[in-house]
Amino acid sequence: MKKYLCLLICVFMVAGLFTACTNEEAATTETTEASSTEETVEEATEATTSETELTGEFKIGIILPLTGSYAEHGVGQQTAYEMAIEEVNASGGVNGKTLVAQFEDSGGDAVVSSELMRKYIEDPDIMMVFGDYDSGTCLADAPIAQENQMPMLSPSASNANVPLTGNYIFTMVGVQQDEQRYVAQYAMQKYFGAENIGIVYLDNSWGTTLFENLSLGAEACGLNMVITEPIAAGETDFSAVISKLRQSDIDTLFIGLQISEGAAMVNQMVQTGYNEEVNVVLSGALYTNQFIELTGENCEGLIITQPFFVSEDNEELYAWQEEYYSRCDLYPSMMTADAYDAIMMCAEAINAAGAETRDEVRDAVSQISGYQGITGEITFDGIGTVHRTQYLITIEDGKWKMLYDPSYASDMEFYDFGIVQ
Amino acid sequence: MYIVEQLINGLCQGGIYALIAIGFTLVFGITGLVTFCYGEIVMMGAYGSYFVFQWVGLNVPLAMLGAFLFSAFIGFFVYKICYERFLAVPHQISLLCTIGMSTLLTNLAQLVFGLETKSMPMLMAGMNIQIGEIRITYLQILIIGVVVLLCLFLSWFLNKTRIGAALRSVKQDRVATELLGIDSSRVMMIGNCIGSALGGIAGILYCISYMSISPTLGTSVGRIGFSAAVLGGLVNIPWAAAGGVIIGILENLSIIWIPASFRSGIAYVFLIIVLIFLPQGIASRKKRTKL
Repeated sequence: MKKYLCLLICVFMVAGLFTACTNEEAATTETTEASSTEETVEEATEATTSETELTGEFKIGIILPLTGSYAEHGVGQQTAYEMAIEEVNASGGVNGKTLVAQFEDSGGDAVVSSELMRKYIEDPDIMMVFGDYDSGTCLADAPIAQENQMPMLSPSASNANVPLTGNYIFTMVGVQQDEQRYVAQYAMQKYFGAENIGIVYLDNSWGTTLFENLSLGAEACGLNMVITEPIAAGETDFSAVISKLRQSDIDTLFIGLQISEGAAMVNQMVQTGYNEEVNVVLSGALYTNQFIELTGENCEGLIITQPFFVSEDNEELYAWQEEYYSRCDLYPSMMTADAYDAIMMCAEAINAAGAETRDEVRDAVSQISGYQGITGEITFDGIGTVHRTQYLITIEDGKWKMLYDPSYASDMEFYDFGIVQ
Repeated sequence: MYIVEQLINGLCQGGIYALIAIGFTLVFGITGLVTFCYGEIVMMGAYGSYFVFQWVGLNVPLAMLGAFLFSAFIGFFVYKICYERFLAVPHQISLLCTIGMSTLLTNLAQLVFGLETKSMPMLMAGMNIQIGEIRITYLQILIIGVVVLLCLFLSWFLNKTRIGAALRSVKQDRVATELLGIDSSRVMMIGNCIGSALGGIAGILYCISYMSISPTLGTSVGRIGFSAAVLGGLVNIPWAAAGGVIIGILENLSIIWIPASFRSGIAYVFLIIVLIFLPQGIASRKKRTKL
């Protein structure tokens, strides 16, 4: 018995060691993957070097969450970055050099992310940093990047305070002011004919910003906000919240939650039959396959807004999506497609300007205007962000389906920050 | 009517908490050792049921059996590793061991079952009883029914069976029990397994109620179970169950007056209040120890 017991303890300890080191291992893995990515990129590049004669390296740093609750988005972004880097190198690289990316995993943790930013800043060969994924981590990274004059571009942070940090900081997914104005005016009011609305949002930096901007949008178009309810991250029980929503007698509900909380709430709404009493609009963060997997049939007919949608009619974009899917077994979202566009447009801008220093790279990126990417037209405004139009999307037969393209909101007024950096 | 509906929500949620608190109390009552890996045993039991659902389909009794057996199995090894060797030494050693075991079980679950949240099957979707403005779902009735049945069964088991008598005997005086020829270590192991198995049932009820399961659910569930059990001084089963129900009801009623994001703090406020005014639990005020 003692032998078995010892053996069991050993198994537990080894298992624990493996997982306890998950983050470190993940980070190491990412470094390894980064190396292998670099190798892949280098291999891909070597194949074309003979034709384009690339000499030297143009290095960039990439921070993204490959573990933790945003891992699916992080993995997707890494795939998109890799696809873009391969394309850039295949078509001549950056300034005649091989574009080389160093990937690091932040796990969605602001402290880790800011440490990685410092690490990149200390490396004189890194010319620009892409990432992190979410606004919370980017708000931690941005002041550090700005203070050290490191150009930083997050493909997915939507909090306007990120680019407002300074003139070295850029975002491109659009700002929540625009997105939430669209949600209020077009998804809720125009599509559903909403009058009395409820908002359930995550009680963190992202959720609170989302809530504040949706409140502004709802107020601007005359919607009556009957009930607003903050939800703690990781909440699983929504029965009390659903009872509270039910007695508030709203006609349309906005669910501003992340995947695990959002899926739990949608499932429990169906469980209690509340889904039949209210129209539902989802936050853009739920535009993932994982959300559909977690909710199954319960998410059918729900509405979501996104600035990016792949239609089979667009053959080139559809082929890109298929290539992307074959690499990571995920469908692209705005957050991940933006990562692809970020590399492609920055490479083009840097090449055009012949930028060789961080300051020159910043200047080149800030001049980007009218770039036609897979996510649409990209022009940086005065504060270093992009104003995006939205698609109105639903879920049908377990798949995302476009209801209306951006022309549905052709009269929409974008938010004016009134500031030029 | 709205308050009544929230009361029913609280009763359902509190029932699950009560089951966790009962299991926790049973483990502490028999072994005399505090465990900090009970939430993880609950989580493991829930995963046991998840895989039964995956393999045999929507069979709730079989899934409960799977949760019961799997968590009892985990409880057996927890006993062997964290308790058996440390019965005669200061209790802090086994307590620290259970803290380590808690991390190990969570990590093991993350490794084996995956990091991501998984979806549990939906039972009786949209089926409910409407009484005036009050709506009670069939699932809530099922959960409350299972909890009540298990409590009755446990009461019968502890008071009317030979093993139950042995468990109560070990609780009262382990040395005297051994002098009667009863293998106290074996009895304690059985008690620990039964307490763990109850946690497994609570795990499946928790997960089918919220339709999701993740390797980290044990942390919050364990803390709530501990907070509820404190009302019974960690040894009194009825008061531990009452603690669970009270926390569940308070969590659900609180949402009427405070934002939902603050309600997770209710269990800890409850714990602090009980520790300040009833540090030995309600049982100690009545000058009797009841298993």
